[in-house]
Amino acid sequence: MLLKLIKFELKYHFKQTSYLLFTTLFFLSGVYLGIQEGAINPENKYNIHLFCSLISLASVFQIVFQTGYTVLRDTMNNSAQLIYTTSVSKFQFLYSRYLGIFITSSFSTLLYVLAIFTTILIDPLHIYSAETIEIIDFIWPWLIIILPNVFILTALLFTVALFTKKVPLIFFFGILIFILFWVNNFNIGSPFTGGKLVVDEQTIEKVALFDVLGLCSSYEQTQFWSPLEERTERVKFSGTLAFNRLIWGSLGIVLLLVSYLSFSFKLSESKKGRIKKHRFFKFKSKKQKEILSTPYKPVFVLKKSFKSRLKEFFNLVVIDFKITIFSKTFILLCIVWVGMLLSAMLHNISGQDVYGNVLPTTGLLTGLILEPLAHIGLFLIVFYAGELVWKSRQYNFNEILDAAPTQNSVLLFSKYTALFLLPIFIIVLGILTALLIQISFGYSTIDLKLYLSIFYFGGTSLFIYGILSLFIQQIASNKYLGMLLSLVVIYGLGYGLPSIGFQHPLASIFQLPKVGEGYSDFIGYGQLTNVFNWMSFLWISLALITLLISFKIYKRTSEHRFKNQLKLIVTNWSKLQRLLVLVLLGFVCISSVVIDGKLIPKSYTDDMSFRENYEKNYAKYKGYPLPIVTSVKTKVLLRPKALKYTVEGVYTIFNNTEKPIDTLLVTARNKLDQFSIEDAKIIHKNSALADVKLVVFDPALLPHESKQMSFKTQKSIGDFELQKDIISNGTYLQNSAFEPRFGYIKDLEIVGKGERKKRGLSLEQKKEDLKTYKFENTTRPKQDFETWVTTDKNQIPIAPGQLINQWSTDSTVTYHYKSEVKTDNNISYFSSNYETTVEAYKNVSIEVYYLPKHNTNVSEIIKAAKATLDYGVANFGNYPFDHLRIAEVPLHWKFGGHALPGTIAFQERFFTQDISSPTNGINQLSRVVIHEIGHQWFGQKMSPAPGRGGNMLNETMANYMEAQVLEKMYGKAMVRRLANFSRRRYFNFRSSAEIEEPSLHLVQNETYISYRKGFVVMQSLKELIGEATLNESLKELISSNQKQESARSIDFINIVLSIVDLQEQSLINDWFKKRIIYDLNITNVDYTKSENSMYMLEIDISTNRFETGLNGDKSEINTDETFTIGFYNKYPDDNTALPEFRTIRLKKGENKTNFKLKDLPKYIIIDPMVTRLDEDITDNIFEIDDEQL
Amino acid sequence: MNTLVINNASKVYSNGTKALEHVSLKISNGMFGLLGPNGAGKSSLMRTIAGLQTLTSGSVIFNGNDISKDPSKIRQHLGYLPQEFGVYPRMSALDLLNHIAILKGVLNKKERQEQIEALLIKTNLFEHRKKFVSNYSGGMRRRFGIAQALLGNPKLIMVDEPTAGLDPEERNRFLDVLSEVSSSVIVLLSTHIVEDIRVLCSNMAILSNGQIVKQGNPNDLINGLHGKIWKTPVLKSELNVLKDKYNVISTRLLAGKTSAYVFSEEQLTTDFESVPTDLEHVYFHILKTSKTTSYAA
Ligand SMILES: Nc1ncnc2c1ncn2[C@@H]1O[C@H](COP(=O)(O)OP(=O)(O)O)[C@@H](O)[C@H]1O
Ligand SMILES: [Mg+2]
Repeated sequence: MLLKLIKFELKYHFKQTSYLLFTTLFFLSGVYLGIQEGAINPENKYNIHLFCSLISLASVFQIVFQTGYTVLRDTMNNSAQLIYTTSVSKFQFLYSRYLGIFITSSFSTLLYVLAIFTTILIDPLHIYSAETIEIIDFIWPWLIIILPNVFILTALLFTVALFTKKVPLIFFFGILIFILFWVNNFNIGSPFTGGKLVVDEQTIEKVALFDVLGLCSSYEQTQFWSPLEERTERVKFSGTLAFNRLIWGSLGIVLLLVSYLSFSFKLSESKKGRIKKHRFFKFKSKKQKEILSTPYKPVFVLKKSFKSRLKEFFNLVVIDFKITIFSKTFILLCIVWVGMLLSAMLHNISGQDVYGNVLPTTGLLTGLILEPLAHIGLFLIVFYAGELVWKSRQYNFNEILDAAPTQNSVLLFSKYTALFLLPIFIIVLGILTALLIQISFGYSTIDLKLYLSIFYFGGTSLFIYGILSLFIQQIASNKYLGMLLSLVVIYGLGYGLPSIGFQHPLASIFQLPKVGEGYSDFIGYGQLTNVFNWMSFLWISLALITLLISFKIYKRTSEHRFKNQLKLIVTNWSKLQRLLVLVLLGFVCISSVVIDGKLIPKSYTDDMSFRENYEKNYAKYKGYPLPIVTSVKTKVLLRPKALKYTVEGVYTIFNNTEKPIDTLLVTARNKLDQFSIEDAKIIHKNSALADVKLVVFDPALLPHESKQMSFKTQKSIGDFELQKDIISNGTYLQNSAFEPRFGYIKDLEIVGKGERKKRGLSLEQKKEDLKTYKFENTTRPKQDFETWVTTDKNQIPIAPGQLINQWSTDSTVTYHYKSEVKTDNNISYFSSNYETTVEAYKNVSIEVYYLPKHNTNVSEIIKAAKATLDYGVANFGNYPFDHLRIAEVPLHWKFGGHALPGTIAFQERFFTQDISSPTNGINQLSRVVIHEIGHQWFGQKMSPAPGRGGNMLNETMANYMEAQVLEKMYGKAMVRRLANFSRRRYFNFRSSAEIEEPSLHLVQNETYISYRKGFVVMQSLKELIGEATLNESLKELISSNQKQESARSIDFINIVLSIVDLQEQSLINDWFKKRIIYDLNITNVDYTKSENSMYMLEIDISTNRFETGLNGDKSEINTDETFTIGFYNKYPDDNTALPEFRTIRLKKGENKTNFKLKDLPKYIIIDPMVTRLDEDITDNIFEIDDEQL
Repeated sequence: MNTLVINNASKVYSNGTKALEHVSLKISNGMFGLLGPNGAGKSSLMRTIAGLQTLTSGSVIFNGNDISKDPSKIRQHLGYLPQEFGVYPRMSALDLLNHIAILKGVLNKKERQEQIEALLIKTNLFEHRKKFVSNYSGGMRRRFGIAQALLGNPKLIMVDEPTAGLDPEERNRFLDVLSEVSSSVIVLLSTHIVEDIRVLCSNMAILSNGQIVKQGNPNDLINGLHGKIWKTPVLKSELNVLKDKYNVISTRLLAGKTSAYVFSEEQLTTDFESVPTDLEHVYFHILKTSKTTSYAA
């Protein structure tokens, strides 16, 4: 019997359009992922795991649909009474249904996984080079993640369905699971949300347990995996992951039991006889007698006027709207929405750890509303379009309603209006939530206009989606199918064409640009607004055509016939309708043409054909000797209002090699209007996209010979161009944007293997041999710099160098800068309507340039600047310039700060940082100020020589500077937090890096090494040789490398090595030249109180060290070194803790140590300042239990 | 005077069911009964008149306007009570009537209130006017249905099997309301209960398998069969024999004994006793003959 019932259920599902649709989509997305280069890396088992598990999210919705259909098909079709009275047993009835859903959903997900597997195996586009692809790597995540998820989700939703018998609530629960998943992942910064937040281990473990879908648990298990492990290890069914699966699995079983026990074959009863409290229409209280005598008489009805239609319309809208917003589902949805917003806003404002608190600016909060609005709004629209269209039919009220003399247009318009009121309603809720936050945080600069813009920037898409979904509901044969179809159509139109490689701004049909993150106080949404306006105009026009059609095919019949409606689309157009369609089509054409013409082709780096040809034509110039620039003179004319700039440059180029240069390849991003080099001829040029020139010297440029080069270029930015070089306010023009570059640019080579194969480019990629890397003795002269920057009158132009002179005309202002010392080639030009604060400090003029409304943090910036100057000057020699400019640049620059000679570009977001409690967490503002000023010594004053290890001298040392100055300013606890942050980031980022990890002294652009590992290693070094000695060594490095770019990482290491003993030398070599990680662990602490009231502590510590080879293998090595141990009276991250530090020497394995202390500490920590790279530091801390005495 | 003319109307549903076949009717003010068994096509006809469905062929003309061309012409004057209907949740009778009245174009607030009050009283719902209609009992809901159909100024009132499932008292009250308004408008009442028609209708048609099989004044129809209906007691076992032999139009169980009614021009045997003809005999006779003819055809 059960088997037969299950068979029946399976058949039922396989006939459901929605099931087939989901299954097909799953299958297709599997295939799509398989043929998408760069999506899945079959050589990386963890990567496979990740991509396979992701289907769990989609299966939430599939199960929602199937549960909805299954459980409610009886009640919906009014056949419940029939089935409930048959001989089927409760057990058979429930579990056949449950299993029906479970089996079919599992099947769909399996299909997805197999589709990925087979596509990769067949590899139709030849993009993979993996030798063996094992099916078990695909099936395994299905078994431990997906299958349990389907089980749990089905149990969960099935129970909800049984208890509530309400489809909207099932939907609601589905969405809730989905939202919870994102919130969880966001909070722990897992790779699913793209974020790489640093969160402490305990939180991650909690979240990993809590996550229904077990995806966080996968992350928890693998967060510290090395790249090698990711490639070779399968995610294990153990630890938190196993625990998570067991907890939720048993919950699933419990739910199934509960639903079995509480289910009975009864119809649900509705509460009867409730008196209605709210009324739309007040009945005048008349005397009973009078009422009873009122006779019925027909009321003469006039022909319908506009006014009467309006009244009908409002009445319909009010009824629809009220029924919707007072429904349980909608109220729940609003609660979730506000809750989500509150948590997102609070999360962002009180950023954790390193991110520091941020002021609740309207720009930030608006972005935080816009972001989730796009998703919630879409669901809202799609769901309620179905509800509204089918409502009268669902309640069987349609015949009465349709027989009323109301016009079709009134009926339809009222539906549209009621639907559009919903997003408006939740946007208003969002704005109120944001206002609440601003008010409760005492933030008073509220920008109402910006809030109102949400209706436009967030609402327009929803308006368009609303028209589409209502249209689809009109032709769909049932509500839920209509909803699903709407989603498929909206996503399909939006992402279909681009996903098959059709890259055009108009290919994403009905998709508007996302503006949420594009806001900056400099320019608002800037040029994005133009693009958005035109795109809205285009898609709204197109949507209105759909609207027109939906009016045309609207029939108030109870018969629903797709064929008839199709016929109606093509026939019987009235004159007015034709005219309207023509006008709208006209709009569509005009705006398409405008957008097509104005959205300029992306830059040449996005043009694969260009890059292919570049490699084919010019790769032969790889390795040619190149000149360098030794003097830069520019005239930069910025015209921010007109979005134009012109640069004239006169450079001195110099042959720094030992070979004569006769041929030179020059590549410039923009077309060069003029270009010439003394004694050189251009023999070939190609300026189709980038400007590529081949120059021949005659006579050749001899070693140590200089020549002059001059060029002129201009750029005018289109209305739609989303670039950041020149904007109406907040220009930050980097020299790399316009300067011609010498030699073959390897970065332009296409990277993707499949793309290379397709274009017939060679596949072998030579890897540098790190084992035999030799430091060469190359030095580079620095350059002279002089510039004249002109900009619009009300703005201030800034560039590196001493300000020599300034003058203005009626409409422009020009500043003449000249650098008094030689600099590196790190030059940018700023222009904004800055406000300026200048403070002279010990012969340095500290100048802060910022937007007038961003004045809150200027004093903190100056404070940090002074502290840094003090520390730098005291330890590393004098500051190289007479000025220190810190200038604000807009949010769209993703860096925190950028150091130029004597000048620092400082990101807008720090100006809205909340530093009212500067000692909490990590003072991000000061941290970045210190870092960038640190570069004035490590980067400017001492510039690294070309070659590996340069970033160890730049970035590592600027990070070291952070630690030192922050400690002076805000104490050791903050440094400990920063060190811990660096440690975690190192492990986090290492796991997504290449297997071959360079040592610190050979680092190139791997930030997880130069910044993070560097930070920790410098702290170890400081502990080992002392701050004074360390700074002395750095000072020596700086003073011997001031004139040229000549410093090498090895030079610094050698300085240090020369002043320490043998044992210390070996440690320093380990830290800088190898990949060493530690495993420290306090296993036990015993203590006794002696007579003289001293505490005797016996501490067991286990110590281990590992070395990772270049090929990723990890091996245990010997340990014998000195560590710090800290005795804390409070939790170590507490600023008010008063720790006592001692040093101990520990050997590999178990160590027993004894300490005598006056006070009993609360916490004992090995390596309290986090100076060693230890994956797990939760066991480095031991909490003393007072009760022990 | 209002006129509703149905010309040669046929309706075939997409699944092939022929719900109406060549139906022609001419109806003017007063109450018109549409009698027919379940599935005869009554509701289909009414939905068509209300413009909720389109005809496969033929036309419906109300006061000179072809409603298949412009259904709004009839909707302006229509009061329609569908056979089955539901209402929105959490809405009181008052709110809902108010809503429908506005849709029907009763814009003047005072007039609207008065009419709604009057209708609530007439349908005996005044006490319950603030309760949710979704919680009404079947009879109350039907009375609510008639109240909403009478809103505004209907010239054509169509009620589709309104008496089904009502208790006798409710039913009488209901029919009273209808007859009261029927003098100046068309009331089209469909039913499968003969009783409803005899009391009220001045004109009627019998619909079977989508076809009009008889049409006329109920009394004329009764007179036509005068003296031709005979009754005989019969045992259950003999019933089939009787049916083969005579034209049995119906059987009735009275106090445990079955009687058969037979149509015959003259008395057959002494077992048969003449009975006064009533409309039910007409109905069953006509249904029977129409079936045999259609089989024969
Ligand atoms: N929407 C429909 N689609 C297909 N067949 C229908 C539909 N509505 C009614 N029918 C069929 O048309 C015939 C007439 O039905 P109906 O008009 O409801 O009869 P009545 O109201 O006299 O009981 C029946 O056979 C019924 O099954
Ligand atoms: Mg019917």
